[in-house]
Amino acid sequence: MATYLYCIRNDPHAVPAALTGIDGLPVRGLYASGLTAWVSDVEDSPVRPTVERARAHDAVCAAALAAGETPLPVRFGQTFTDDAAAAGAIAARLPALRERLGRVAGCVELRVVVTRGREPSDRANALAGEDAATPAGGTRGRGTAFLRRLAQQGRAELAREVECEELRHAVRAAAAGYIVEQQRCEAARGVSYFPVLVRKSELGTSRAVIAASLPSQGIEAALLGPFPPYSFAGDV
Amino acid sequence: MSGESIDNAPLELADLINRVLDKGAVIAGSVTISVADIDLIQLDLTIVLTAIETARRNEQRRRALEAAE
Repeated sequence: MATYLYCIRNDPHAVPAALTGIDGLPVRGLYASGLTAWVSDVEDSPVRPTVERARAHDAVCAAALAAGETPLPVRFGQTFTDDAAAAGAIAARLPALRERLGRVAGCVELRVVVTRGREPSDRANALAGEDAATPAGGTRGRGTAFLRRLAQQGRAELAREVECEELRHAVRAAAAGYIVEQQRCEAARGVSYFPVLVRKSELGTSRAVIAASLPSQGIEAALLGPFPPYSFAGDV
Repeated sequence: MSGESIDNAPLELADLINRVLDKGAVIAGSVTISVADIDLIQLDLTIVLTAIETARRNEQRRRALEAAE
């Protein structure tokens, strides 16, 4: 049995009754050097990630956010041999944890996810045209086709990154007064996105202003959240 | 745009995985996710996304049938 860590809070707010985490095990508060960590037991260590376990981790962090003060969400998969080891690790990083908690205090994370880039069909058609062209006096081999496909994928990814950055700058310009912090675009598991930190007290207006700025760049995007500020928690 | 609408479900799931696995404070000296584990969750994700896509297609088919009746 090991101790699994979900998030860290400044206040000693009680964990909601019957809140469960990974594998349905109960979540409890662990007092550590003036901070409160939300933890549960786990049977297996290391904890292998599954979609259900990722959902459970996120649900606990979301419950902590809903309970009042913004928590510092912890990355999936951090286990300790027992509660004392978890408390020790927190104590060892206390100044950095307090600084991070102060940075995200009163804030939530929104995420702009690009769902469709600008004129993808035009790009694809142009490249398909190049593929279709046969060189004089011969045919292209499989190797050439393979390299062309790689180049096409690379160009598409680069274009998506550039478009995502353009969108990020447009959002920044339109909603500057509502954005506490913003991070660069990233791409992972087929999704391009950028996170934005906004004040919880201005959530409705922030969402509306950011959502209104999205169509201006001709790129389709979805605005997701609010979430605990995972992207602004950083390494400690 | 948020919410559990069937159209946004794959996007939200992919985003959740990105958030929880790649972001958040790292307190422990060792984060216990190996490359093999990431592959596993990618596989899980593919299965779930495929299931959602199938459900979405079935829903579209059902609506088309209802409209035709």
